[in-house]
Amino acid sequence: MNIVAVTACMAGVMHTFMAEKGLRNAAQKAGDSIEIETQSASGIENELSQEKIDQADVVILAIDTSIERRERFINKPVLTVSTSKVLKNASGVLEDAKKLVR
Amino acid sequence: MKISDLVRPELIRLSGNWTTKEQVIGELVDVLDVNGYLNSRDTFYTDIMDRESQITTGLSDGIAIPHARSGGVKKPAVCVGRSKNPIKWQTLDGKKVELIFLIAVPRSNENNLHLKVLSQLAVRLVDADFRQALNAAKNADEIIALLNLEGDE
Repeated sequence: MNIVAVTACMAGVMHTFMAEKGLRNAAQKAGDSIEIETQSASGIENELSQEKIDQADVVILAIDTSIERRERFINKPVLTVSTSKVLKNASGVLEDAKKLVR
Repeated sequence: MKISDLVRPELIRLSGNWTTKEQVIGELVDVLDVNGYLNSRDTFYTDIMDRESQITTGLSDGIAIPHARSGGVKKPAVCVGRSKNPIKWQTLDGKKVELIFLIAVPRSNENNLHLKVLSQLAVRLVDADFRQALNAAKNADEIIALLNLEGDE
């Protein structure tokens, strides 16, 4: 499966990057391809292009706050969860996202 | 910048006699304050507690990372506390907390090399082996050595 994700948290210092790592580990374990954009106190890093998003099967937003440029995902199946949910069970979040793919 | 630039030995308290989360955070904020890392102790304490009320900073394996970007912070720093008594804290695995990393980040975005270092710490804290090793560290030197390991890539 081809997944794109955005992670973002309140302070933009820790949970954004823990959620990124959690999703990356889970995708690797499941054999999925994943591209993750972080929106943090350092700004947007690894920004997802529209092309990349269009090619993805599903979008995961692991966010505790509003994010920039959310309109990019308007035509995609999107699973929105908190960063804590990813930290608790990233594989479960990945499975839930895949259920949105028809 | 390396993590050891943020976790100074004078910011490590390894036998805290604390009983509540408020007490832990209050004392660690005081440690930062007396060492000159804060502009305003009260502003930083309030920002940290606000942050705690919004979403938990408890991780798994008895580790918590209360943190805030705050106008009360003068210089970025990580203060480390270990409590003799397990502290009630909302955590991912329901366990009580013994090892606390209190992370202070200035509100200003200037010179934000510390953010990169902290994000590397965040990534490593996802690794259960790293959390276990931190819990097993016997003294401040061991904690700093663990934090520095692979930390300056």
